[in-house]
Amino acid sequence: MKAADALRVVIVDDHAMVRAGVRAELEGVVASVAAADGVASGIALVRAQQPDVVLLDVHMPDGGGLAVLRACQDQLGSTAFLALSVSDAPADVIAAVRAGARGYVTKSIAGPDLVDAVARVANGDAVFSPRLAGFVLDAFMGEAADADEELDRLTPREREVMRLLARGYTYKEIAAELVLSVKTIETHASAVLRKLQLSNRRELTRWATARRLA
Amino acid sequence: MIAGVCTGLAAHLHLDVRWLRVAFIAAAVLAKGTGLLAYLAFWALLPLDPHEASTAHPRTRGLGALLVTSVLAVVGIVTLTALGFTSWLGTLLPLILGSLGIALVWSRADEVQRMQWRREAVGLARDAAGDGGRREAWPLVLGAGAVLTAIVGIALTRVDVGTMLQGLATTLLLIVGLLLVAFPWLNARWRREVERRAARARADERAEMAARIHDSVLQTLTLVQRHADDAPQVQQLARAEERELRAWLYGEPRGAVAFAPLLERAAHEAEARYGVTVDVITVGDVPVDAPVEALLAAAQEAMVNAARHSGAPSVQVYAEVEPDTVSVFVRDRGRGFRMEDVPTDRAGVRESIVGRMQRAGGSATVRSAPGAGTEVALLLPRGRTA
Repeated sequence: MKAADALRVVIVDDHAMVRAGVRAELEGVVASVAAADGVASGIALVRAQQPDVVLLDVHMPDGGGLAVLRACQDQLGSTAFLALSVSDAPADVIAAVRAGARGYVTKSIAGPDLVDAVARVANGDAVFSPRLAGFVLDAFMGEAADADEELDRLTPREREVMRLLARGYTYKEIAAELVLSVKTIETHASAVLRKLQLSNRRELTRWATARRLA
Repeated sequence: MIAGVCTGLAAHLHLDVRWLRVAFIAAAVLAKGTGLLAYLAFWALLPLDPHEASTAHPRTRGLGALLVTSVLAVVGIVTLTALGFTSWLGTLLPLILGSLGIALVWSRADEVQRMQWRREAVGLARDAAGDGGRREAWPLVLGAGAVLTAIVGIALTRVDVGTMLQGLATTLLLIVGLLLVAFPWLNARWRREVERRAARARADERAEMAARIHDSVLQTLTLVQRHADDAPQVQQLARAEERELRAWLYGEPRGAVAFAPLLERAAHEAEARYGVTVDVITVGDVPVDAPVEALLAAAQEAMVNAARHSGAPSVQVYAEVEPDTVSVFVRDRGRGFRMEDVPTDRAGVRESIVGRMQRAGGSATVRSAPGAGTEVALLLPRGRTA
């Protein structure tokens, strides 16, 4: 378990204001913050620094966050990517997660929540914004026609966890609500993230294809 | 007198009605019913109001006259045949039939075009095209059929098949040759046309974008500058603008008959009125009927309560449509309250939310504690909405 103040963080975002804002939120809380302003410089910085967490803007010129994620596939084991965007469009969310991001937060996220999300992905957990949880429920709604049932379907418990996330509950509140430990909730969330990345459900591939990521 | 055909024709040809009637009756008696057939043909094919047809558009008048002439010619030929001039029939009938068909097609095409102009002028092009187009089609089919019949008739009686095929081949060669000669020109023209259309589409798009930016973004930026020292006001303006732009960019469902967009709109209203952020997440959708309408009203009331009384800067709304239930959760992290503390005369929670949901066949539960925020859960079984 890594504490927040031991984390090395890299921000890749083409907006100077966002870089400055995120830096202000994280500096002093985490061990170090470095920033890059584009896809190419971002890839170089992530390669050079091997950070614990990369905050990755989804929308950038020259391929956006997806291009960075694709170039850094071999680093996914040691570096956690957290997608950062202003967009709520499902295609962006799903594409980033399917390319290996451990979670997705919108740029309007409050400071403490961002620190919390960074620490969470650094420890291998998944971060679901309420909206991402809503998308997951939407995508996994109805019967799966595909053969791989385990990947294409949420368990009732996972569905419950996603629903509470969509209702705005924190992991701690969900644990209290379901009378489970926070660790169990994290396990469920990670399982859902895995399904989100690997399932071939039509809705997921459709959304991903919309961002040219089949 | 019967269907007004004689009167109509008389007005059209500036003749005395009586002469026409006599002619028709004479044709009917002398030529074994030809007059009667011609009368029926006129009745079926002529525009309903010949006066309008002759005055509204000058070209119609000429074509109408051609039509009338053709019909009269047919009547004449048939009459002549009946009187014994049989040898004329084989040659002239197909020709007459052909010219009649062409006249019919042309006059109809003219009429259709005129109707289209009129429709465009009134701006009703969309709803009229549906069945109006079909109704216009049958005279065209009839006319084209007549022309084809005439051609086949001539071909069968006048020309033997070998010669005809030779002629066809020659014609085809000629057409191919002409096309080859004209190809570079046609191609260039076609490409220019495509380019022109694409350019126009791009220009339209740019114009729409510019209008959009001007109408909303620039206005909002002006307002933001004016209220620069009023943080909640600025936040509210930015939020409203964001919503609008998002709806425009990502094409959120517009038809306001479904549940999800109406819930979004209710949230938007609460947001605009009380200056808090209301985040709405919906999964699935359902058409709006009376119980769903009650659910929407209760949800709106819950949002307004949270925005007005909780003191929290944001409200989280989650709605899900499942096969057997529609549920809405409205949550805030505000100051919360105790149900017992709410005065009984306050209609808000008891009547507008709980009572309303019960009458609609659903239920509402309010979970709140001082300091721990509030969550209102609204459940509506869907069996009753079907």
